[in-house]
Amino acid sequence: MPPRPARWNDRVMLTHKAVTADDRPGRARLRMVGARKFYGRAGDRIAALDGVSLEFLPGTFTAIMGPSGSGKSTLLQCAAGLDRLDEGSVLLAGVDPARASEAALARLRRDQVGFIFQSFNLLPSLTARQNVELPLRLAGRRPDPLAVAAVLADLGLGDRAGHLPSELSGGQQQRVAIARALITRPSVVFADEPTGALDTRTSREVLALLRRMVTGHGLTVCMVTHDPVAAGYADRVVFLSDGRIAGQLEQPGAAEIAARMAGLEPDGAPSC
Amino acid sequence: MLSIAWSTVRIRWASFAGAFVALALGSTLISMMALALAATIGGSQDLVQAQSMAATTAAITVCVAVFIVIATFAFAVDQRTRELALLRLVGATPRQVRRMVLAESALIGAAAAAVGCALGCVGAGILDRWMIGHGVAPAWFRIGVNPVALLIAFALGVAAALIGAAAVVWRASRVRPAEALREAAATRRAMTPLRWALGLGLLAAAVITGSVIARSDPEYVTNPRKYALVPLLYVGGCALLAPVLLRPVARAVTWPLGRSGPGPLLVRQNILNARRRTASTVTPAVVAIGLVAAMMCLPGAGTGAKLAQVTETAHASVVVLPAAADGPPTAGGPTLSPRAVAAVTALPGATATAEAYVPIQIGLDGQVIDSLTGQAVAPAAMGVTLTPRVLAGSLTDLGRDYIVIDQRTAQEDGLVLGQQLTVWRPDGARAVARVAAIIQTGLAGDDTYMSADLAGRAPPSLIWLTPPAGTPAAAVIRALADRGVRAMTTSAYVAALGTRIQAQSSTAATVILGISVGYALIAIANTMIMAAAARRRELAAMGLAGATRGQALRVVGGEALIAVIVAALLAAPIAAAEILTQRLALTRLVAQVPVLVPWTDIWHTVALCAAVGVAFAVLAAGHATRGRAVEAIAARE
Repeated sequence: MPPRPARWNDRVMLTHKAVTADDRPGRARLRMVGARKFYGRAGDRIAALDGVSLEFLPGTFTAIMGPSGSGKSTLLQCAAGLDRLDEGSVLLAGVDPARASEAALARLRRDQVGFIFQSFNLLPSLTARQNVELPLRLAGRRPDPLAVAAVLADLGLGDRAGHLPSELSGGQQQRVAIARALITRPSVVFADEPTGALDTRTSREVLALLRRMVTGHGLTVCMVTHDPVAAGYADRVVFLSDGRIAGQLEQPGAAEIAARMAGLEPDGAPSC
Repeated sequence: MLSIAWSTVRIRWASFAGAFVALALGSTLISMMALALAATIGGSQDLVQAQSMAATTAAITVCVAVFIVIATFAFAVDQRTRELALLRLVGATPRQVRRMVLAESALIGAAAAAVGCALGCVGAGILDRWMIGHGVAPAWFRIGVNPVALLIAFALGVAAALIGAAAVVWRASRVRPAEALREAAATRRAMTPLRWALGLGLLAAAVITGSVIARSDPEYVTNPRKYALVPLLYVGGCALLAPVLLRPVARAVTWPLGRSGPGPLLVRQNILNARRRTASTVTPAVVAIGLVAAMMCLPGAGTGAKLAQVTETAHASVVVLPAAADGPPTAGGPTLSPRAVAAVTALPGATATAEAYVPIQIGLDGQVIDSLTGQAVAPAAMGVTLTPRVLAGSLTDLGRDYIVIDQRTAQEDGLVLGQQLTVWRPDGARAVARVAAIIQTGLAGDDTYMSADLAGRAPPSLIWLTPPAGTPAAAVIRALADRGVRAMTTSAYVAALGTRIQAQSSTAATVILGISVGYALIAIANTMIMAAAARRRELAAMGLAGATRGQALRVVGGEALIAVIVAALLAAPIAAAEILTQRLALTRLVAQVPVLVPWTDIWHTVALCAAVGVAFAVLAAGHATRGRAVEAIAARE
């Protein structure tokens, strides 16, 4: 019987940093304490985050869920240093984004953090390979062509490296985005609805890839989603409602998550 | 970073094409004028007019090119906000983004300036024939290819691109990475601190320069070459502040649109919220309308003031000129024969005041300090027939050795009232004269009157004639009909003078303005094309929301029209400030200052800008909306 053709998720060659003192079990890669964030003017303020405290340990996969307007995306942006908290603090890979300069934040994003979004956010004028190399180039490092080729091949993009994002399918674009997020061997990856624009099969492949990175390489993933199936790949699901934590589930199943979500929807199942 | 800049330019050339076109055309004009200027430098006396035209046009072209390139680059960078935010998201520092934007601008700037210089060499061949054809340059005049001039033009082109990018690069580098996650292109904040500082600085400089000119050198306001700086400063300041000024103006103009149906509402919201795009249309239109209003006002007011000065100074109803005269009298021009003079003075009861124009040199202690054209007039006629505005001294009881000089000559030569001067006549004879009065500097330049005795036997070039009481001017003119002279009423003389001055100055104004206005129109068309390419999704979304293609095109056309109207309203205070400065300056020279607002030229310019804006907006949007809306929406990054 001929060997089965290689698939992009067969093996992942991305190797991660050795475990350091900061990565000892129990030391959080990302910590958020008493986070508050308001929108609107004084007197008419709406709290998008209202006293959220969370810890993300190395090698864990956390899903953040909640109805629209519950503060999921605000939580992710504040945790990632893209937005500033009004109260409370964030410690991301040992750095407090509120006290870091723009340049220091840029370096932090480049070295320690990866981003994956629903709308892949690739640079339209760069090819798949150039997009993947971009964080390394920005860091002033010369990308190793073999390593980049190996990552692209691992993600099933070996023959698409020279294509522009407009010439790739949605699944392929998201895989390029994931390769770009992982190329610098970050310690934390933030994912905002990473499977929102993908079909069911591609979604499952992407989630399985993230899962593998967490289990095999100690990556920390913080993923915002409204899809119970996607959340089912996580170690822990945190539910948000009106900017507050409304509950947590450890190692949940999709059905359990869906039931819990239904309880949080304003006009869903009875909340009592 | 250079490699990223390079691949961005290479792949997204279409979105840089607008900036490229604006800069390449600007460089073409700059290099043409630089070559023309180089060809006139060190040339003969015949080239004075050509040189002054080339210098003025070069200065205006450089300024207009810089203003328009800044606006275009600001828009080009703004269109890429999301892309720059993405770079920041994946770890680019603000410094890296700045360097990348500047590197891109340098790449485009160098390419566009090179193309512009090549086109400029071609254009120079057309320009010299045009200058000869319009009598600006002598027939042998040729504009050659001068490497130094081309190098300077190239450097100016690249510098304009870098200045344009520098004006926006700070803002570009401060783009927050979270911007990448938002879809909307509407930007409320449109100003950078640098832009504020530059805009306010230029306006302040315009006010200061204008008031200094009005106070100390009021005659400059009739000379486009010496005065062009003030309109340019006003226009530049206003163009830079356009993003902040246009919002209240646009809000007021479009107020009725907010409540009259969905199309007009969209026009209003697009104008108000896509401020960079609006600013990029408004800026060239402000430049065109503001310059036309200011510069076309100049020759009209200048001519009027010159004529008013003649009317105010000379009190006689008839002017007698030599038969050969075809313009105002000059030193060395045709003169009246002794027989003609005798015929005029023989008229019974008439008062005749002869004026001879004599080139003289004046000096102190035997040292020549200045060359002047003296108007030799009998002492008794001064203060009676001829009444220049006296600033010091008096025109009564003038001795036979009097000389009257204008204020500027007095200042430059360090002369004071009552001073003894040596006057040399062209034949070498010398005499001693006393400064009897200092008068206001005339609009034509130096003004010197001196005793007829100091002029020797110089024949007069002009006679002012006052007929005896009860005799109509026409009768005197008839009486002189066959005496070998040209006699006419003073009003006819002034009118002929006006026609002559107007013809000279309007040629210069046409060249200077034609180039700038043409360039501004191209910049407007350019913005429309750049904007439409980036608005494909937005237009498609309108289509999916139920707008027909016609409605979408009407919205886009309406936006262009409103933008030009806003530009006209922004240009109005510039023109008003300009006209006020001119008026203040001219009232120091003549009592009756004619105010001529060049309404026709202004309307033509506004109409041209509107026609070009609407036509290109609709054409480009029509091109962008062909095909099915769903495809445009589904189009990936």
